[in-house]
Amino acid sequence: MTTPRQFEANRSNARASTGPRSKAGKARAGRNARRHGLSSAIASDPAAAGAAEALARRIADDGAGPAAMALARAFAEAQIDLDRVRKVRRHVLGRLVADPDDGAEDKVDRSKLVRQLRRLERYEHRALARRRRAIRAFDQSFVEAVRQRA
Amino acid sequence: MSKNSVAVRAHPRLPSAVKKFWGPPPIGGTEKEEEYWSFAAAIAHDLDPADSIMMLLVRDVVDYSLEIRKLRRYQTQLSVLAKSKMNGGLSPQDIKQNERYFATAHGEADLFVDGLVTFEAIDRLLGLAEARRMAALKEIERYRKALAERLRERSDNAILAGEFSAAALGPDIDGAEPDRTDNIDAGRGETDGGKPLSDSPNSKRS
Repeated sequence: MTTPRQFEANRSNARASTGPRSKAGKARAGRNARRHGLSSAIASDPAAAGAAEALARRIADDGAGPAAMALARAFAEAQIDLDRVRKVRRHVLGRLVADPDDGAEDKVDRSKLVRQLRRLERYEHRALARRRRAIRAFDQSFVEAVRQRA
Repeated sequence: MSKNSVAVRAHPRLPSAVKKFWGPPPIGGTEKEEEYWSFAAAIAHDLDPADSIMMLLVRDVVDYSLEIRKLRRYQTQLSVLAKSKMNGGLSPQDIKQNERYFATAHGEADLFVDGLVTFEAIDRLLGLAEARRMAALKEIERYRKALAERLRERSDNAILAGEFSAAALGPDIDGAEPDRTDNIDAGRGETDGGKPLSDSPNSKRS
């Protein structure tokens, strides 16, 4: 049973530890649960968002309308996502092969890496499907544009 | 040919625009950048750098092909790794004895079982890479078909508009010259009802 004194001490301790206060500390703590960042949206990563926008502009015409630009953006975001997943997968695969196979502890680590690779497959599969859909939407939009003009 | 001369085979090269667009090659460990580019050039040296989507699809084929080759190499290396693991710390005499054992069917099976978990993991990755390479090739086929359809549509429209403008430009029965200023757009190839083709969402790609 907690005594009133302990209760008070707990409260005052809790008041003293309310997490990081500086901006940098808050930013760091905000990434505590982050594993590989592959679930995060492209928009939340400025570098990835910039790369996606540049790719979208390259794919669409310079004078493309907002609808065509949105389709190009969907494709570009899926492509950048795919690149992110592949980068992580290459890193994991490199570790799996580079690790020397000489100890029980290493074996556990190796199976962990194999599990990681399996999880990454899902992300790659999803990004590939998104990209495929984006290409088809792009083609479809052209067919519709031609039909409208005919 | 003189004794010292070497026959040099012309290696295909990847267009620099494609290299620039693909960015740094996805390599790691002991792999070399030049090896990646020569591998990519062997597959995609005649790639048209004007089509971004096609360039990305072809890059997939290159990367998956390279991955397949790499994973197959890893698989063959597994038995070598298992051998060196079993021979680790042994005297030269014991290593010799081990080598004799590995040369037997039983020894070979022993080596295989030792690396089975990793072998299976690599095998699974190989299967996936092969499936994805096939999917990328299929996507290229589909994309090219869609591109051909777009081209057909545009060329049909261009021919049709050309016929109309030719009819409008034809000589009048009374021999008077027609007024050509009204059909200037048709002469430039802007045929879709007067709307330039570049207005289409993906005209850059064809």
